[in-house]
Amino acid sequence: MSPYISPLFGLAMGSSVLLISSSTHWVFVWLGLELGTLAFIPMLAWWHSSLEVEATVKYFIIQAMAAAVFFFGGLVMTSTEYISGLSQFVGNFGEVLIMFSIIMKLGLVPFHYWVVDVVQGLNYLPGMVLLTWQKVPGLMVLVQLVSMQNGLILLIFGALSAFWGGLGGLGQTQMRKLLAFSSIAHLGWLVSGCVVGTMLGSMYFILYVVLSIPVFVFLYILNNTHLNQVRASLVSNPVAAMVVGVGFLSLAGLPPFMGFFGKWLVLTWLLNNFLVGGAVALVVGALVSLFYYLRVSYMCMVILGPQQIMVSLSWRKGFMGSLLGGLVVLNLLGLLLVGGISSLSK
Amino acid sequence: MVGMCGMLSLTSLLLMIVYLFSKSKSDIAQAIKYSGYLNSILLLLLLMNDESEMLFLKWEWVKLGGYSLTVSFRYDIYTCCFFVVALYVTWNILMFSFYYMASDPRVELFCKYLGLFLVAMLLLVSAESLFQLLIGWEGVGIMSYLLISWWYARSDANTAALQAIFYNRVGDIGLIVMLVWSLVNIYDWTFTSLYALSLVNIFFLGGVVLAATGKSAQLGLHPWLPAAMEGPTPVSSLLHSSTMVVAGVFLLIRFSSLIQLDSLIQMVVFLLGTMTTLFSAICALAQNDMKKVVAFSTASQLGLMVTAVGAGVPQLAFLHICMHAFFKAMLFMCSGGYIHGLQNEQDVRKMGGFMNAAPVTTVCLFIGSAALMGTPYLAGFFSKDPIIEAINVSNMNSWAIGLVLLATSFTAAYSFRLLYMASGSTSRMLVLQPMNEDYGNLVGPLQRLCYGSIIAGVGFVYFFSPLQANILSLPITLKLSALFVTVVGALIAWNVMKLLHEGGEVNLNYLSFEAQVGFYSIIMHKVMPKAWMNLGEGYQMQVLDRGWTELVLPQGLGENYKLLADNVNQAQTSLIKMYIAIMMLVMFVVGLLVVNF
Repeated sequence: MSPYISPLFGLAMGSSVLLISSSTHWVFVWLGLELGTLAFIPMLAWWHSSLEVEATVKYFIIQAMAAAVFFFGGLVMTSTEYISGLSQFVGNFGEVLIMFSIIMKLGLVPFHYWVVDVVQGLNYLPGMVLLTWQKVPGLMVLVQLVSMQNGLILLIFGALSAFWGGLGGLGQTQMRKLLAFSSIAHLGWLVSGCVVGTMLGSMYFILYVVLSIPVFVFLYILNNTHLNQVRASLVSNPVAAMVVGVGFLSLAGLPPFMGFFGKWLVLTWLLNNFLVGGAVALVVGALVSLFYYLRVSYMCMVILGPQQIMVSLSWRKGFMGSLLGGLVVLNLLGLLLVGGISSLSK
Repeated sequence: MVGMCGMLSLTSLLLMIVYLFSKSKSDIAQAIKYSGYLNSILLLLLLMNDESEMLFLKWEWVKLGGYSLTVSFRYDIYTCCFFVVALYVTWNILMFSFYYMASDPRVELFCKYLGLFLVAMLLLVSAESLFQLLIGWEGVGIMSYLLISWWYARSDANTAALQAIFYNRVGDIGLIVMLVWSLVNIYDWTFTSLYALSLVNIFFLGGVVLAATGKSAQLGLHPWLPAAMEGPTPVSSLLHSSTMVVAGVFLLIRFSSLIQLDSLIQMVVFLLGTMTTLFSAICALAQNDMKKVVAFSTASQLGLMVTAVGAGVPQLAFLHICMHAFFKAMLFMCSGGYIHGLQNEQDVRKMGGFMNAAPVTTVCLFIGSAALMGTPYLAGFFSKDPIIEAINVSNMNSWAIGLVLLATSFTAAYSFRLLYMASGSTSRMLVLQPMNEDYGNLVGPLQRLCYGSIIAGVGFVYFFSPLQANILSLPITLKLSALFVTVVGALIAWNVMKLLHEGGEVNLNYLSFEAQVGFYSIIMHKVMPKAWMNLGEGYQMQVLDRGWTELVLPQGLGENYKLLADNVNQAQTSLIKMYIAIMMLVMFVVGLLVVNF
């Protein structure tokens, strides 16, 4: 592809976020969302294979539908403002619709079906951007929508996501589908955090981004798309395999890694606000997903695959800079980091 | 004066410990002999000094905050008498073991073990602090284990030693309860502070009784004593007749003033002793192993001592300890002489007619048995008869008193049976046995203990003023009851034996109640452990641990989640239309719900 593509579209994606964060009218928010989506779509199809194109198309359809619902919700909101007497029938249906569209954009249960197919179809790097950056616009809108009336829906959907994401990944051997389900589960925790407080939600999001980037990148380096390949990776590239293993343990929420602290803070704040049912459901979901995280970590770190002489040591592939090394370190030094972040969320 | 005596005794103890490290066995024997002389001098001096009370020597050893562990010794009349008797008997047994274990390559070690045992026993009896008592208690337990399993290549010896350890350990629970209770309630472990109590907890006294039951082989924890006959004869005669098994009774004697405060415990002690006496006497009637007969006889006499404590005459119990040491050690040594002469044949059904083959030993056997039965004016009489008189006039359970008298008659019965089978009847041994008693180390100790059995009674009663007044006025039937039942038992036994064994047949019924020692061993060692094991392995392990608890939580949940995961993955049909349809539906439904509420 042309070298001008990625800067242009990257700029567009960045400006979409700025647009969303700085606008006061819902039309411009919608504009920003659409801009971000449309700028991202071509970058997904970078590799032109049929699988990727199919995933791109699916993504586009779902996002377009979500944008349409968003616009409809906005219209409903506007109409209830300007047409008197309508609000007693409709209530805050507009806000609910907008929230549904955001949920669809993010990929939360029960609007999550596309996440699995899209992430499976894409390679790791676009998938990573999809699961991390493309949530930012959605989350920006979501935190403005959270209120007393909407909180219950979000909580229910969040708890259900955690459980559903856990169950879905149990039978998976494809790593990308596994990561998709894990993302759904983490999103559940995220929106539960948002229900409690904005700072908590954004903290959880930052933690999730920071610890999933090394996982995706090192899986890309190892080129492991299937569980069996993970098993053999300890021999070929031990460092990368260890990072993936540790990363998965961190995603699972095991102390002392960083993922634990996100979950811990969310739980603490939920219980401080007496939302015990949600907390219990989230924990059960995390427990179910623990199985497949542990399975992957076990394959990466604990057992030794069959030693093959023909496996080439892939030491030539770059590590994409010291940023990644820093992220890896952050995973392990979660203790030090979260102390600072948790004081932010107060 | 008294201080000097105490120092002398302690010096002798220390010297004995030093001599334990020497290489030669005769050194150990000499050390014990001279220590015995020294201690008898001490005893004499203590007697001449009219204050026949106690003496304490105390060194602080470890400081534990508010309390400090001390090494403290108490020298009252019990300790001093016991020292003399124990040292005398041990010296004789050591000389005997030179004869008995002469062909054993590790005989030096054996003598060292015996010496170590003696040190532990003397620590036990001279202990003022309960902790020191515990040290001595455990010490004699360990030495008993090592000595019973002397011939450790023999599996029976090993199991017997383990049995001794187990049953003693159960008794040790009582001792630990004692220590804990006294530490928690009176913050002190000395006898002095315990005697000052006016009200004692039932746990404490229960612990004392349990400890005595374990160590002195009372009914309930008794199987280890006959099993301990696996050890060599010197071991049996030192540990399991004179010295170690009386440790439990000694404890009871020490605490007798406290036991008399609680009538329930006193009754328990009395009944325990009674039942032990009778049970052991019954079992002794049916044993065919000579050493086992003497072992059960020991158990029966121990029961009698415990009964004496229960009846309120502890000093008579102590007197019986001292007298019993003499003649029981001698009885064991006689059996040792027979066994050695018959090339390690212990079955009385293969003995007979030793009156002619080994006259000195037989005479000593007879005198020992006579002393055991309480023949007037021999050693046993001065302790056994007053005990039975005291039991007769006490207001305890009269059925129990009857049982004690029955047991006394059985004493005579089994003694005469033993005499008949071993030395009286026709000879049933193999023809060319090297039956020889012309050993100085056999005859010497036998003679010395024989003299002891004859005159010790007179000596003790003459020199020591009784600590508690004996009851001297009794109706003549009660006074002569012990003698009467003994004579009756002896006559019946002798005649029955003659009738039963006219043709030289022997009793082969080994499954009877008395031959199986009341089936106690089978029940406790086989039936009950098997029941527990069935419960543990069969029920808990197979049904629960590998069955239901596995299925309900770990595996069961796994299966359920697998099904749910299948459902979740079936929803991922990869058809966009399906996805959109579901999403629309959900949106519609949830939207309606939200709007209406």
